[in-house]
Amino acid sequence: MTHREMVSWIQLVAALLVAVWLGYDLLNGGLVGATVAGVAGKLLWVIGAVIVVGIVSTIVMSIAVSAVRREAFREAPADERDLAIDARSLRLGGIVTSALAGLALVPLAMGVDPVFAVYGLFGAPMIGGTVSSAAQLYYYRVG
Amino acid sequence: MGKGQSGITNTIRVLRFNAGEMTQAALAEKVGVTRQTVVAIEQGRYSPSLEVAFRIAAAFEVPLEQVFQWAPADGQD
Repeated sequence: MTHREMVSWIQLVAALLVAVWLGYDLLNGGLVGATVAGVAGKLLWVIGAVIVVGIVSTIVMSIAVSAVRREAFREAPADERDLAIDARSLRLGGIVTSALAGLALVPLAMGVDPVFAVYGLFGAPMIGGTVSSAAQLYYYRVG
Repeated sequence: MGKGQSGITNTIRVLRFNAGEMTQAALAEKVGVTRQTVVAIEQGRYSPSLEVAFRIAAAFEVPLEQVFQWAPADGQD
């Protein structure tokens, strides 16, 4: 596994953990009496936590793999194939993010509790990022 | 011989063997790509840019057509 693939796996696992937490939170009354500001603040903390966990996991995994391989496990400079795979997976992630972010307007248009729109705006880039990471791993396998 | 869906085949494996079992890592370093990219090209999973194709040919000191061949698939001219 290359350094780039490892980072994609970490992003994928982090996104799945967030999805599990989100499901758990919603099932345990996360929406009861929730305000837009309260939910937005909570989700901002989640985004911060995902970034920190991603950075720490990448460092820990790099050190662990380096120890096993007995050589530095660092990111090689991107070549044309890496750039092509990045472009294709980011495009796919971007399409998903845009579509879901657009759908986040639906609850607002229907006059439903705006808290749902906040969850939608949070979920759009999370799902888009997950699709992008999964696509990256797929393209590294097939092309 | 690596062959992808594009109809492009290559003889990189043979050329590496003839070059004293040149490793994929050594070829990657000469060409300026990652080893994973050399693996993908050799297996026909990735068609390189014209520049990288020329670099590969130059690494083996052979003409481009000795490294890469193209056979049109059925229905293609």
